[in-house]
Amino acid sequence: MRNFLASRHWRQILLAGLWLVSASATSAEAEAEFDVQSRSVMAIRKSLAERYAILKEHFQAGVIGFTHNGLIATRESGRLAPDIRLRIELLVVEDNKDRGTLYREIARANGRPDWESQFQHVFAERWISRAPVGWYYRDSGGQWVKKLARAANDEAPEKPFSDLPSPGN
Amino acid sequence: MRIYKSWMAALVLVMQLGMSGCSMIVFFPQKAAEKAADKVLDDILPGDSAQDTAAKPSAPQQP
Repeated sequence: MRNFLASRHWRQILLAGLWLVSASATSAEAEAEFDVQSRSVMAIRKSLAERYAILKEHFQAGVIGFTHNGLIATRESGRLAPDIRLRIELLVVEDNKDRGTLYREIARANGRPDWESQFQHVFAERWISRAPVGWYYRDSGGQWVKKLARAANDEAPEKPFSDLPSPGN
Repeated sequence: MRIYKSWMAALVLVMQLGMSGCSMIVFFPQKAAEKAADKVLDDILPGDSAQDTAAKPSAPQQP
């Protein structure tokens, strides 16, 4: 045993094991592709797209905006007529319901319901990143931020999703 | 000799347990999730997206 411990065999075995574990984890991540075309997900996508056509003008006007957790919220609805405000607020509630279902269904359709919050985190980042310039989003501190055009050399703004659970396992 | 063999057996057992445990851990594939999110957003935000390059490869910059 002493001879064995003194030799490099045990280190080599340990290193080989670690390499195998890391290689399998890396390949699993590289090969992963998520299904976003299940029947339930497609139904929600359609519903969100149809509602987006109505909400778009309110995004542009800054009446509503994205939130740091993958939902939307009303921003300056006080200046609107009560009936319009109510209508927008109802649309926002419906949209958030769909968004929650979307994250849950994607996680479920891919056999990982425990990844719902990770999907929500990723979508939150993508919604805001892909929002046109001039649209608003609410950061994790509750502040509304107008999306500005960024010069190529500008540093990336602070991520507004820091209070969400970080993607993990 | 007997001690040596039992020690080896224990090592192999620990390695096997460790590897099977680690194989059950699947790391959340961030890039794949971003790609999936972009597919969904392509449907919902047709033509409205900002020219964001965060998840897409950008052209090499001129020096």
